[in-house]
Amino acid sequence: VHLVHPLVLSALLFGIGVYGVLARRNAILVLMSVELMLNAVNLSLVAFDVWLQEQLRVGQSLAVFVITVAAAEIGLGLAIVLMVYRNRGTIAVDELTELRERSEDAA
Amino acid sequence: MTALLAVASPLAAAGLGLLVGGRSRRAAAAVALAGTSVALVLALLMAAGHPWSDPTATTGMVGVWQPLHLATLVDGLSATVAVMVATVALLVQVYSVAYMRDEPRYASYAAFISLFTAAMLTVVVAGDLLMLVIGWEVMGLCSYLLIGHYWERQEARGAAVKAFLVTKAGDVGFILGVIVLSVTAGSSYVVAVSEHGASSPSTPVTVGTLLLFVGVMGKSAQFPLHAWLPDAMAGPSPVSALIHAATMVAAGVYVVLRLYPAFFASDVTLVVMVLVGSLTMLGAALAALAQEDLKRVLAWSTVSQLAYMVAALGVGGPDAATYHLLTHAFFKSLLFLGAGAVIHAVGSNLMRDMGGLRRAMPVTFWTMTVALGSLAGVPPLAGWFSKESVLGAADRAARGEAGVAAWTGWLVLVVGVVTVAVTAAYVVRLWVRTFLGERRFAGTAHEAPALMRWPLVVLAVPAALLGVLGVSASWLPSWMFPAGTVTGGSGDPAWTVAALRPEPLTVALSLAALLVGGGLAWVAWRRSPAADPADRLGAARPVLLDGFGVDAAYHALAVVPFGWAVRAVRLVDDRVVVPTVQGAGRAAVRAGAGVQRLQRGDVQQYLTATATFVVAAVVLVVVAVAT
Repeated sequence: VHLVHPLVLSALLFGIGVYGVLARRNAILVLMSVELMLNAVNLSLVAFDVWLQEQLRVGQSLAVFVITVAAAEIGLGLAIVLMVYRNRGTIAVDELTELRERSEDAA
Repeated sequence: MTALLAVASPLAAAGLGLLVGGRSRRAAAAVALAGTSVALVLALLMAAGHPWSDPTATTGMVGVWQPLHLATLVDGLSATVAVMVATVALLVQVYSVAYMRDEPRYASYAAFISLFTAAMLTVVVAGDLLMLVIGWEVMGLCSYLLIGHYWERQEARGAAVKAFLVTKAGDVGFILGVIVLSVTAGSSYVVAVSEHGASSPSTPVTVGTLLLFVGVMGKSAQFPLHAWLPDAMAGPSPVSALIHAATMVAAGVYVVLRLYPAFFASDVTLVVMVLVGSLTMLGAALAALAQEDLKRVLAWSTVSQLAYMVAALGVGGPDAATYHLLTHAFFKSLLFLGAGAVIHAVGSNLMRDMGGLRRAMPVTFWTMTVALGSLAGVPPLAGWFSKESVLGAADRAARGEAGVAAWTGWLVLVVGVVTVAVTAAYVVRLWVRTFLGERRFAGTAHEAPALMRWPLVVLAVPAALLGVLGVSASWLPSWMFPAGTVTGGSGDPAWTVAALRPEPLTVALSLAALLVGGGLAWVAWRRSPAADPADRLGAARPVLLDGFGVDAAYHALAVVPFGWAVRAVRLVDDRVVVPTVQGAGRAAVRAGAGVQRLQRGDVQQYLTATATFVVAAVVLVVVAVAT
């Protein structure tokens, strides 16, 4: 396979991930979109690794690291989402605006 | 070097006094007395060691840094005046220990007097005009602080501010004059400025001396900048004795003496000095005649006597001015200290509350009598000799022998003799109202404590006898002016120093005036001992009491317009400055509120914005690199 195919696929996956993070209301889906972006990066890493034929296989090793980080991240993320749901009864991202700036005259 | 040490010792006493004085009154007094005593010893050493025969070797200079040299000019004149200053300062410090016995702020009071002494000695020994200006300004500061010593009283606060503002108005002229003269002469050394002024008279020299004289008018309380001195009596009496009689007010005259060749070279300045001196002399003496407050009589009298010195300078008699400066310092500080003792005993400043103190306070009575006689010019007391020398200088000028316009000599002679009569009248009035007649106060008055009595006695000696020292030209005159001339250096024969030997004509005139003036006051008092001789002035009395309405004129010409200016400034402040500042603040708050709206707590919006900017930036960079 030519290098461009996995890269195009990777770019598409990344774009879908970005769209999901920016546009989805459900926190679970936002987390899944983050996973999409991470895996898009993994795909391009592996593709470059094959293309470069390097001695140290840096691309593959980095992909393994990313998978580890992604696993840890999704674990933490889901735990946070669970706690938010228990405390507030919703996981809609646009309703979680506790940290917005409040002021007297802009209220 | 001795001169610099003489300045440094009271300066150190002032600093030390402020440090330790808060804890112990005794320590404050000891430090002040020690500092002033050391200054007196050093001044005496200075006087003993000055090279009599070689006037060119009298200038010692210590370079400190480039623009300012601690140059001292120690010659007979400065040594004599330094001894006078240190003597009076020491006696005033001794007197103050008793006078300010119950005063909680004694420590700062004594320290300020020490600081003042240092400043005055700086002026006296300064060989560089810039150094002189420093001493001059510090004196003004001390005067302000000490007039306002009783700052709980509105009157004292007002008087302090008035004195400060009026003398500062003069000081503007003084500093400009120093700059003009120094630049013209190319050097700020006193000797260089004098010699340049004398050798090449020019318009800048005239302008410079006139400006300098404005400062002298302020410090030496000459019309129209005299109005602060009578009010300055709100300060403690010893302060009046030291600062407002003997030293600071005489510093103005002393500065003119130092630069006399430059002043003499300018006819306009001499005429101005004569006019100002004559007007002040008579006007202040008349005002003194009507005062009811004992210290105000003496204050107006000081203004009048300083005017004698200024007039003497104007008619080419610097030696006469010097004699009068010295004798006046002694007899007038004695009068103020005596007045302090009287006020201490009676508990009032007003002469209507005194009377009959002769028996109760014999030492004060006799010493003050000597000083009053000296002030009035009773022969052979010191004041008589020096006043005769002023009139003699005027007489020489009138005969055209002094190198100044003859009419100025006539003016000073006539006004001087008339003023002798008025002086005698107010002196007799003060004497009889305070010490003779019935006592008009309740309670008993006691003689002052020993620490206050002895300074009076010590001061009475020069107040009575100083004139005798000048009878021969080889005594006091040649001691003060070793080269036989006032300037010490390349002397002009016009001011060859004369002995204090009164001339028959002026003696006859002034004795007649003395008898007429004093006699009128005496007769007025004998006719009705209970009444005030000044009541006979009739309708003129309120005008004189008020000092010819100069204060009212100041109010109309300076205070009121200043009030307008203040209102204008307030208006600008309220309408322009405040809205601008507040508007800037409000604009910032509004802008902040606008930006605040962006932060709504929607994380996805933030991310969208961030991503948009990152993408836009990358695209821009790529496009820029590609093209």
